[in-house]
Amino acid sequence: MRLLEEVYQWTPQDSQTDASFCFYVSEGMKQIRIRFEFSPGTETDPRLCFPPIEKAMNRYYDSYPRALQPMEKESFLPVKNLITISLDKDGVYLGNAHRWATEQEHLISAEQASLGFLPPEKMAGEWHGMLHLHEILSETCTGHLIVEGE
Amino acid sequence: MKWYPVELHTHTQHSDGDFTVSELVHAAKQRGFHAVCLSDHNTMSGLPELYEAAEREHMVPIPAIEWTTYWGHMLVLDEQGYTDWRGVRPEEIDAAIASIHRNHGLAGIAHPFALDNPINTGYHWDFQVADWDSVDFLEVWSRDNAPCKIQSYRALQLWETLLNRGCHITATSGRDWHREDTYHYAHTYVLAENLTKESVLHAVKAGQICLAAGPLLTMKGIRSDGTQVQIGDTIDAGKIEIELQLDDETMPNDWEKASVTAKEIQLVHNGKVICRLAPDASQRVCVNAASGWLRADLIGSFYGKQDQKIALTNPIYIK
Ligand SMILES: [Zn+2]
Ligand SMILES: [Zn+2]
Repeated sequence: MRLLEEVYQWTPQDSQTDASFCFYVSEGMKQIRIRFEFSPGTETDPRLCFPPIEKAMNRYYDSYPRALQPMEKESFLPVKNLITISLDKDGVYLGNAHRWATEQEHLISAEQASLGFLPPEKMAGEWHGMLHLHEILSETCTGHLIVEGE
Repeated sequence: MKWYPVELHTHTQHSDGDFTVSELVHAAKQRGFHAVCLSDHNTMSGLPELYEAAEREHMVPIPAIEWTTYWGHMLVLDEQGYTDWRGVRPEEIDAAIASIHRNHGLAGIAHPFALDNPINTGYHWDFQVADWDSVDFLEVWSRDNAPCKIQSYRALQLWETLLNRGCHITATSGRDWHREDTYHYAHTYVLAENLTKESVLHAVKAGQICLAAGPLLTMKGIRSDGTQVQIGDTIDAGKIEIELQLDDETMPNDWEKASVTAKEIQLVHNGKVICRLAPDASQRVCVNAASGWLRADLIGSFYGKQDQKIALTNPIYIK
């Protein structure tokens, strides 16, 4: 049974913000399946990538000579868009799947949970979650979140 | 009291590492560590496996989480309870650290001057700490090649600025280990009678930690009455006898003796080198120290680069 479906359109202005979501699990449901996809996962357009990469490098070097630790801006391509999911239930933080994956599936029951999450005390009730937009470099990035109860 | 190598910063598949928890603990054991801290990004879901794996491998497990925010990464060790990393604004970090302390956890700033977005998200420390005394530790060395990186020079500079202000803040090294590799890493050593979670955490809090990328340099002070002071402790200003030990038999599985070689020991007092010594295995020297802090550094070569800081102690504080 579908508990939640959201479609998102993000831009670089949404970087470093969170998108909250919430869904309700009824009594008797044994497991939830959270599927989240976003696209694109990486950005290679030099016009978009190089200015922020150079900014990060300038910030890194500060007043130190670059020859002390040479780096090539090209070596940082492609840049990844990074979006992760965190969950909490009944005021208890369950965890976060902090990794680069553009197609994610997380299965959670009271006994087991996918990597990054702890199982909740009980499944039934209101769930809260957040999408963490660590980095959106692409001009537009679309996301699709589906939560199903089984 | 003995010096034990410990790793305070690691990741597994519970976040973005390649290691399973078992693989991580096994790899740490193989390298020669006695304790390993699991600090996955924003999750503690690997901790049940950490305890099992550590028991199998006879390692000391240290539970942790790495706050992986938009404004910086912070290592939180052994918090009893949970302070939410989410939604903490740059100006709210002091309140968050106070909450971690109420829950008996330790808070340390990870890789404060690492390359930031879009290369590494949130790696550069941008939280506005008002009360630096509340920060338990600062990871001045991060990842591979730590002695020679600009981010290390900058982190050491920040650390000295804080020490000069009178803060007691512990410098640590973190491998930030995500997967098996053959890079060259530095090591964190803690001083303890017996190594337990509690003694590791006590050493982090008390500044009884030395960092070494090769030979281990340790220091203690001897008062005029013959009693000893360890690093992290406070001693009265005036004439102090310092005992220095250099041990190149440590962590033999993780660095090459021919590639990390000692050239000179320096005593650093309130940011200035006051004494240069030969890298002898054991020696004593007398210094006249004013109020502030006193640290020992080892200068030498690191995989082809000359005149690098290849080891350092945390300071003895002087009042
Ligand atoms: Zn980090
Ligand atoms: Zn890390």
